[in-house]
Amino acid sequence: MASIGTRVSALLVLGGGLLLACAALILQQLVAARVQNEFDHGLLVEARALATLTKHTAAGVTLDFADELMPDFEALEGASYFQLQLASGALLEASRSLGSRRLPRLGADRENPQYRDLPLPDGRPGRLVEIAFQTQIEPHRLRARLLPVTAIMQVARSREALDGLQRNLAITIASVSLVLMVGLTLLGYFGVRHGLRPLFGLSRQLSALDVRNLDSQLATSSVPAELEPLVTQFNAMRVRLHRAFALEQQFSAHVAHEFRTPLAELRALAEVGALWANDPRLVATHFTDMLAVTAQMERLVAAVLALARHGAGSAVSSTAPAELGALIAAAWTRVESAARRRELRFERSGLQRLDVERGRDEFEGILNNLFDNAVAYSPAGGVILCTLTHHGTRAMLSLMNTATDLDHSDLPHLFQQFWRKDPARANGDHTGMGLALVAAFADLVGFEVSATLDAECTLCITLSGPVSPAS
Amino acid sequence: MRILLVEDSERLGKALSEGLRRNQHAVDRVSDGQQALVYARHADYDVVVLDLMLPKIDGLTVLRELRRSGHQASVLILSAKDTVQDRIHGLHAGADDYLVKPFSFDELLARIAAIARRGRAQRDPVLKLGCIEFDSARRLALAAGSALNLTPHELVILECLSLNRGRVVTRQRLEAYLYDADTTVSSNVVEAHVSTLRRKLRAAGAADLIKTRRGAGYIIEDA
Repeated sequence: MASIGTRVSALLVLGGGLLLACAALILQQLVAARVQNEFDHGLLVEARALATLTKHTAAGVTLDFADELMPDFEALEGASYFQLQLASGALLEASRSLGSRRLPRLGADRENPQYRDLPLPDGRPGRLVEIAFQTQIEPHRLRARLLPVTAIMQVARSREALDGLQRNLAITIASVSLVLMVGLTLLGYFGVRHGLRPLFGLSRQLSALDVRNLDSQLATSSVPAELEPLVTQFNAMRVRLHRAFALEQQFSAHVAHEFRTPLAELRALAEVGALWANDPRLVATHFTDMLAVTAQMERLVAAVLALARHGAGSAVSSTAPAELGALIAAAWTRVESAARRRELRFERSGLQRLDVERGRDEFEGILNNLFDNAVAYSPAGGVILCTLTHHGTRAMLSLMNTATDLDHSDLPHLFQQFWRKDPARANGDHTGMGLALVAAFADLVGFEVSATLDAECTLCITLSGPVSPAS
Repeated sequence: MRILLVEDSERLGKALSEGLRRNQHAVDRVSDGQQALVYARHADYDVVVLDLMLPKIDGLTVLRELRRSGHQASVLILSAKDTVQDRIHGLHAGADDYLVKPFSFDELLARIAAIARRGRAQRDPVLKLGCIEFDSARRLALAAGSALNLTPHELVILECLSLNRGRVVTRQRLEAYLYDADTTVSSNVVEAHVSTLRRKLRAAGAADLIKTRRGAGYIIEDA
């Protein structure tokens, strides 16, 4: 496809050329018409002048023509011609140059002189004017009771000079137009190249970009105002793409890594069990462990899929209404035995009951993950405090527990996928996805989630969001 | 062989130690880096199987600390980290081999045997002990091409003495080679196994292969 520069230049030259040609043609026509009018006017004046020489006496209509005063009509070569006749067609007078030849009638009346191009009797191209007029009777002849008659005066002259002038004018206009056209072409070419220079620069920058390396950016210093939004958005898009690719790679690495250990467990359990398949105790133990590993992998897959759906925007919150007080109680019951083993105490404050219009599954997921984490990471003998409050149209749910392993630098990572304080991932039942799921579920039901850590290492995770006033 | 297995995954550690024990290795299993250093300081291990991502002290730090303190045990890293850089870091830190999870248990056994041989500068897995040959790779004792009918414990004692040929091996070392730290055994269990081993070797024509150094231990002398 042709470049923008070539296309704009071609359009400019073609458009300009067309306009120039039209203008030149119109100008040529106007000038030619004007020159012809002037020529015709001259012919008319001449015919009228001859008509004034007509005398109407009792002897008839005569022309008082003096050859020496108008030698053009007398020459044998390059001469002009006139012819005077009555309306009836009777010839009264003709120039000597006409000889026995006659000029054709054009049918003029007294108001409308008539013109026609015709070949002159000597073969040259010529132009003829014909006027009709009433003969003038001299006052002292009126007593003779003469009545004016209509006479026809025709004058013909060579139009070679007119044609030559029109030709010269046309050549001049065409030449000037051609020069203007060349000038316009050069102006268009260099003007477009100059005007599009920033675009060419941008094109060079884009060509030089490495598609595999999203680090580099387009320079914005010399970009014109029209292209600035494009460059700015392009750079921003590259940054977003770079981050997205990095996150995707990180995510893939995390997923692969998270699956390696359970896969290694499964393989080792299966291989060792198969080597001593005749030992029912060993085989039974290994089957139990394999079941636990697959359950862990299922949880991981479910979490990854839920987060992927949320990331893709295809997750839909459940339409079932939720009673948060009951969900809190159910979430605690789920972890109560594990909490008891670790001598953890559970306390509740605020509302015992709060209805929300939708998102039952999501709130259940949020609370289960929060309680799982609280029980797993609180030091033995600690307290888990859950508070549920309601202010106007906003509900607030917070879960507090001691988290001695955390420090403030960990807070920004708490809701990241696969993040765990302990890089060893020693706790095989936790995948580092719990709080990421909490954030995703909260987003799905329109709640905000945040985490704070006070000086006593009390971690407080708070969810707040809209509920209907009727709640 | 006496092996220290350092693996924080409870289930993986349990399965591997079970398999290794059933392959006549004495295995001590720990689940964090701190414990690993404590165990390594107090026992003489032939091979340390070491995970990298460990609680408390990470595997690479454990490995560097072991090498810094002059530990000569062969170290096999077991890790989910699979990049070339991870392997290079592990080997530069002093590991003898690197195995990425998941892995075949048979491959783990083969690699443990291989790095143990390398640690003893022994290229041929078959040791010639007079008329007896001990194949440390297949864990077989052969006499005139036929396998001797030895119990797992007898095989382990023969392996330990043949791998330390020319050196006296104490009863305590043999005991550590046979049993992990959690197993309690009676004081004369090693003597009992050596006695039955000697009887089987005598029947195969190698009557004086294992000699007793009174108050010190047992020895298979260089040919």
